[in-house]
Amino acid sequence: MRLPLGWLADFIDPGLTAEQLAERIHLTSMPVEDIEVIGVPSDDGNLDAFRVGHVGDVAPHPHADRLRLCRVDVGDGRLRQIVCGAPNVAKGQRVPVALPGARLPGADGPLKKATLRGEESLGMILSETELGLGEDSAGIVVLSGDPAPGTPLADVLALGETVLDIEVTSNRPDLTSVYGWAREVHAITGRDLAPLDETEPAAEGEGHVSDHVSLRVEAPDLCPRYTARVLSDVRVRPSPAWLRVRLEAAGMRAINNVVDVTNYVMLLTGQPLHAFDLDRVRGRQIVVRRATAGEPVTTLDGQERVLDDRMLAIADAERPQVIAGIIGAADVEVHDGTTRVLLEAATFDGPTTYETSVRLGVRSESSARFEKGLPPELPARAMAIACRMLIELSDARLVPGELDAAEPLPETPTVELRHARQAALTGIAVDPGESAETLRRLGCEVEEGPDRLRATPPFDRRADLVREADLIEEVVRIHGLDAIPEELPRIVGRGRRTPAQRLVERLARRAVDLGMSEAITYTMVPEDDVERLGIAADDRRRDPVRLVNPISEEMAVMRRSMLPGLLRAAVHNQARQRADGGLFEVGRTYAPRSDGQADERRWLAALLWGRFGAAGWRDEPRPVDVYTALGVADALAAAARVELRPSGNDARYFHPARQARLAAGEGVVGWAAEVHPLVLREFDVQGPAAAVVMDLAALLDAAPGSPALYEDLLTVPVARRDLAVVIDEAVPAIELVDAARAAGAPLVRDVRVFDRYAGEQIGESKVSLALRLTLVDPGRTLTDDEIEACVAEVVGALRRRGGELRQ
Amino acid sequence: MYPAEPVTETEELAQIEQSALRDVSSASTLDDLAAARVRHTGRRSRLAEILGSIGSLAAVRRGEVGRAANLARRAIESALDARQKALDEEELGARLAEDAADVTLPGDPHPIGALHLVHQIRLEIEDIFLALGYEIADGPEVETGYHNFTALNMPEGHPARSLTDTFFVDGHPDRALRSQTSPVQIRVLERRDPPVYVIAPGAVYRRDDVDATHSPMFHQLEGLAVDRDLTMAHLKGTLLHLVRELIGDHEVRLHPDFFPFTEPSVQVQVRWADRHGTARWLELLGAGMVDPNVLRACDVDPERWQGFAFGAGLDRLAMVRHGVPDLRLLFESDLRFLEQFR
Repeated sequence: MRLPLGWLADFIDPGLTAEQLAERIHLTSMPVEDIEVIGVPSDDGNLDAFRVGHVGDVAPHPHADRLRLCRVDVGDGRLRQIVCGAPNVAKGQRVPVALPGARLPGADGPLKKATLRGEESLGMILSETELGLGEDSAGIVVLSGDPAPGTPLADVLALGETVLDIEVTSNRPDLTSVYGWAREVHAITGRDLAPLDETEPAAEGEGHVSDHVSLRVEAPDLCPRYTARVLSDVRVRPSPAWLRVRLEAAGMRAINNVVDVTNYVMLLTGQPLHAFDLDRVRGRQIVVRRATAGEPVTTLDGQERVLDDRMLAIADAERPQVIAGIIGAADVEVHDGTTRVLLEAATFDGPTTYETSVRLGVRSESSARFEKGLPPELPARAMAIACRMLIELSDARLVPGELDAAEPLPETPTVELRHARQAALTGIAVDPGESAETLRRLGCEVEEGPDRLRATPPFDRRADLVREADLIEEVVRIHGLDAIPEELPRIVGRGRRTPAQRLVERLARRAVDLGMSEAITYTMVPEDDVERLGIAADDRRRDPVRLVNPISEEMAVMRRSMLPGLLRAAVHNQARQRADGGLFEVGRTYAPRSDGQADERRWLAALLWGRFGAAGWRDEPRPVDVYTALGVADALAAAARVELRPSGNDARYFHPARQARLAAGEGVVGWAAEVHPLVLREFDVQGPAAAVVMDLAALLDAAPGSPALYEDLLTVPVARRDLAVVIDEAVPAIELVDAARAAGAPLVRDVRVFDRYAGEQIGESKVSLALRLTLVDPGRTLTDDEIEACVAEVVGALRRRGGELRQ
Repeated sequence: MYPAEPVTETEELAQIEQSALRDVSSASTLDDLAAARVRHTGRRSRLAEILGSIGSLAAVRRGEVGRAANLARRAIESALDARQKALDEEELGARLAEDAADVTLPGDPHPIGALHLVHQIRLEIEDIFLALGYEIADGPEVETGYHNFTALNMPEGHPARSLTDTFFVDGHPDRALRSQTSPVQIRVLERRDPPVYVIAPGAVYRRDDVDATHSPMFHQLEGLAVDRDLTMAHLKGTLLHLVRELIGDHEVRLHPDFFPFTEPSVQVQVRWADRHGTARWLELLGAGMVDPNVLRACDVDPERWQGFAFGAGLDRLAMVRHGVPDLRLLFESDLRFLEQFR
């Protein structure tokens, strides 16, 4: 809301500078985003150099066709010559004049006495643009009301206007009006508030409104009130300067006196109005109805818009003429030749107005007000003022009577405020008298009791002052939030992350320590992501949580896999000279449930590409492969104190022969693999790339619940024995390790593969695996005999698996 | 030529010692020194000869010559050892000097990753509240209309419930991507009785196009405190504590605001100077006293329990504190960006 302070001053003098007022408003009411000064600089007595002039005579300039010589009286007892180029200057006008020495808005220096094509000019007759007040630069401003020559111009025009640009929250439609702000400033400052003159004008037109037009409201649910009046003998012409200047200051453009009055009254009261050229309303009837799907309207801005059946239209006998509360049609627009005006003041449903304005992509000053929800009492106030102004400014005559289709007016319940409750909720006890006074200034009727008060809000606060807490908010914000002391609650709480939360943080930290950086990618992804992963059409993972209103096809569904986001991230980086890298993401996937919600599973997924690691000047990491992924998975699992058991796996998006499912205990906790080359090609990733995906819930299940216990492996000697075993290459290494462990238990504590060799010496389809056994018995030294016996057991077991010992 | 007069063994030993010490001190290499050792103390040296002949001397001279010979031998050997050590060190020094490294070259690198900036800010805020005794709560991102709106005092028809503001699930008109972390308030209060002190960080969704300050997905951190006698003073104290811990001592002020689920509602503003020193008031946190309707929706009696709630945009906090000019940077996974915050 742009609030011109000169306009506000019609109703209240805040007794504060603009800056002080802005700060008070900001801290007690709504955020003030800007203080804008428009018009003429008002410092150093500059305004004295701007006067009302009376054009006594206009003569052609002897040396210039477009210039004229005006003789102007500015009250100093003589007629001064001023050269003027405006086409509209004429004898007898009252005009704004800048005298030599005046500083004009945006000018470098003061105005000087000038000679124009040989003729002296002692000042300048001004246009709106030159005054900094508006956009009209086609001609000079012609002042209305015959002010005396020499009158300070500032007494006639808002010469130097200061405008507060205030953000108004959706619960306060009353603050989208100048008078609403006057009441708010009254509450904030306590200064006197002048009443709004709602006097009804005399209806001196012919006949009765019902002779001119009929009204039918077919959708009272979307239009709880519709009022209309008719004015005849209207003369459409430009509005007087003061009105134009106010509209421009408030951010609206002046059009003509009829439209300007509707806008002016909207800015003043918060109630939008609409003026129709009644002679263009077909069938002389107004029908308020839902639009038919596909009905077109050509709106004032010249655009054709197509309505649907969720939108409300104000139609005549044939077609929609206004999209209710938003914008009117060019058809019935008031134009220069209009003489009969139908004036509408109505109440439209807020959510419908909002939805319609967003769907059509039109937002107007009117829709911005209706969408907040306006009270049905407001049209009457606006109607009275608007009719008075139209009679005055357009010579119109008001036709007696009013069309008024109203649903029953809502009740305004009385709300109780207990003073003790006020103190208990806010931590500061406002004096009961102050509370009552604040609410009164805000327009409530207040009844004071011993320990409480009862307040009945004004109709335009009915929607947001309904509970005790609402009254308390009003009292405390006007009192000042800065008066509230600072305290910290005394909390008896756990103050600690849960085991699951600690696990996630440990894993993320571990991933960082392994050299990967954390990505956050959009969880909304293209629907074909899973297809591009190669997942079969009948796989249930092809079924996503689909958004009904995505912002684009790229974000159409909730992701079912962590991989595509990371693959896209890799592509992004590869295109920016990062041929090698590693990223991980901690996030969710979303599987649809029959109730519409999702199974949201949490993962840590990592993608490594190129030669992941740190390349120095003397070493460079090797290209990533499935073993890189397995190592990362092991290190991540170790952060959860989980040991992984890999086995073969058959995911379509991984390399068919280089992928592992990672089990721990009973469950699968993750996967480590090379990404399938076709998937890399599909996503445009330069290979190689390896992925690790850990299921965080499964990992938490697998993690030991009890703390690790110390074992004495330090004070006793540890025996190591290395065995080289030749075995068929098809046998997974883990089978030998398992066999050695089982046979060597409990003395064999660890079995590790530390070398793998395949070659001619071993024979075709064979590999030699080097196993290192670690034997120890906590607290005791093993004898050679025990060691040898145990190793013999292990060797026997390896042989039974088909292994041959190599010397 | 023979000396003019015969010399005694003692005199000869003195000469041997002098000559040996001369050789030792002039030996400039380990080879020279080894040769000197052989020449002066070897089996065929004159000194060895004299030591070997002591037994055949007259008994009266044995003691004197023996002593002198041993003294000479010890002096020579000690000189040899000292010289050996010096030459050893010299040689090692020369070898090490040849092995010079350019210590200005980079060391062997280790890969160093970074937690995402939003994650870092989240952890910091979490730690601030954990230290106060709060717990961390969580909730679904695909939410019910009830939890995301109705229970938060946004009934059917509220603009936030429109298709233009919130993402809805196809085929389930009452399921939406949560548009704020506030539904976690409801889930927590449904699950347990007050007193409750929780924070709830997470991803939220609004139907905004992607630009420098908007994203259809972003991150919030919600706070909820419900107890017997919590007041706006506690709210103010808590929020100011958070701001000070997170960004240090800045001028902070509260002004009124509006949220459907709190009443009264406030906004926290911080006077913040950017890297160019331009200071302005920035809105950092929305907050307020939990609306009685919200408590009632969770079956909590607003006459017995009251409290406050607040919400902060994690992405925005990260951008402000670290001078990140464009929200999109947070979602591009660009390593050049991520690695700046190791």
